[in-house]
Amino acid sequence: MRPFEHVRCVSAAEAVRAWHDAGNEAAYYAGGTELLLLMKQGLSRYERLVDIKHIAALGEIASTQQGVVRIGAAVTHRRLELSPELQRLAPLISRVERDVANVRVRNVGTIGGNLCFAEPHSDIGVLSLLLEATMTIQGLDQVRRVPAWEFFRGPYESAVEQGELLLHIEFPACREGTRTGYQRFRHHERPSCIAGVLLEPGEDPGNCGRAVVAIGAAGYVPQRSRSAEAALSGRTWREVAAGAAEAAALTAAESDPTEDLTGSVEYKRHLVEVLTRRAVLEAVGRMEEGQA
Amino acid sequence: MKAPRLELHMRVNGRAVALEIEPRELLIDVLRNRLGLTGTKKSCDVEVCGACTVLVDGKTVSSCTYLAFECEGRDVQTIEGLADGETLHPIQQAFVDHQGLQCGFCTPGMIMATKALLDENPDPSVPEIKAYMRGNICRCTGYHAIVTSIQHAARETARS
Ligand SMILES: Cc1cc2nc3c(=O)[nH]c(=O)nc-3n(C[C@H](O)[C@H](O)[C@H](O)COP(=O)(O)OP(=O)(O)OC[C@H]3O[C@@H](n4cnc5c(N)ncnc54)[C@H](O)[C@@H]3O)c2cc1C
Repeated sequence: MRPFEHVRCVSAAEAVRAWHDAGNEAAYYAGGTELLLLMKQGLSRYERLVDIKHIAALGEIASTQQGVVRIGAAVTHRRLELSPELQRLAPLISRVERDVANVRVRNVGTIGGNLCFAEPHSDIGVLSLLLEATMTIQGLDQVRRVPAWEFFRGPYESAVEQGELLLHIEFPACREGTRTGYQRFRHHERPSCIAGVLLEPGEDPGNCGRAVVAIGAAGYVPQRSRSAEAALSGRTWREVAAGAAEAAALTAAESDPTEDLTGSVEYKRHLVEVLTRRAVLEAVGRMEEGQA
Repeated sequence: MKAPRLELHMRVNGRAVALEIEPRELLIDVLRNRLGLTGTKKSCDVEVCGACTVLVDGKTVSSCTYLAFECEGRDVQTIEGLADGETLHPIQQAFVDHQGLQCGFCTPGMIMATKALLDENPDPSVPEIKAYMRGNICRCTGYHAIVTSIQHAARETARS
């Protein structure tokens, strides 16, 4: 690795300033689990690493009275996996985190680093679409909020512009009785395909009022399937279960897979279909068993 | 750019260590090349195989992709710190007794990961062992003997 200077910051404003002072030669540094891989291979070079792990606000997990869960960008995967508060407030996040990467990467890697790196096989990308998260981003002279559906622009490209700092991610409260299914398939370290389904009860709790279907790792960016969502919404739970295959086929048709080390376009489209069907059935099954 | 330097103070296997390093120095290189602790192995170099696993304040990290300065004021444990003189640590003994190793290259990482697992969860189930150890790869034994070794290690550790 080439030499660099390490600047440790204790506030977001100080970090953004430290980045700009280095004039495009700096990178924010959280866990380094992605950044250091690139730097070791000489694919990226920086004069300065701006360390954001010691900014208190970025390390917080908080919840508001409206039930919004706010996770600081520098919170590690491992904390999300083990946090009792999160297990209560947003159990899907903890459940998914148990299977992210391996325990060493989870001990060090952060949720913000995952989102900002925008690696196509990210679980957090799918989670943020599924739970309709909002990202808060700070630049030199403004703070802005970006909904998850506008956050992912392409492979390794997010709405966080050069020199901007991701502060936190907010996950809105789920309606009482909401159930989720989350399926991933992996034979490499990172998943080859992910499908997540969220089913919210309607005014009549015997019906699915609203469905969210999100997939990831298949294509360059995580994606929602509006056609599958429409097909599942407003149905009775029995119809939702019976309609799982149809919703899965719609999702596969709407998906935009790309070939990579984990498989061909055709193979991934197949995975999307299988995993979406299983995720719908998983969510309905949890409903029947009374689990979140 | 001229390489900046900094002072690093940490404890390695219970012993205080102070040295001057560059920010870019990786923990594995400091352990192996500067402190002569070559038990920690470099293998995949991309945080996948687990051969370079060491504990920092009790938590597993991939020392191949972890900057040494992060250990300032912290406790680092490597495979060299486990045995008590000629007496193997119960985890090491369990791996020997139950053939949890063949070539031995993955073993320091396997054992350090087991140490962190048992410190956190002294009586893990087989699925819990498999989930925790998923990120440590062995190319010779298959994993049965490793899981068995860890189960025995848990029993022995609980007893002592
Ligand atoms: C072996 C392996 C397996 C993995 N498996 C999975 C998996 O199964 N599922 C999954 O979802 N992910 C997986 N990952 C990705 C993992 O989650 C990320 O590596 C980790 O979360 C990145 O966080 P970090 O803090 O280490 O980021 P860093 O490496 O510190 O940073 C990554 C990038 O984001 C920038 N950055 C970091 N924080 C901010 C911020 N707050 N604001 C602006 N820019 C920022 C950095 O400048 C850098 O460009 C895997 C990674 C590895 C190495």
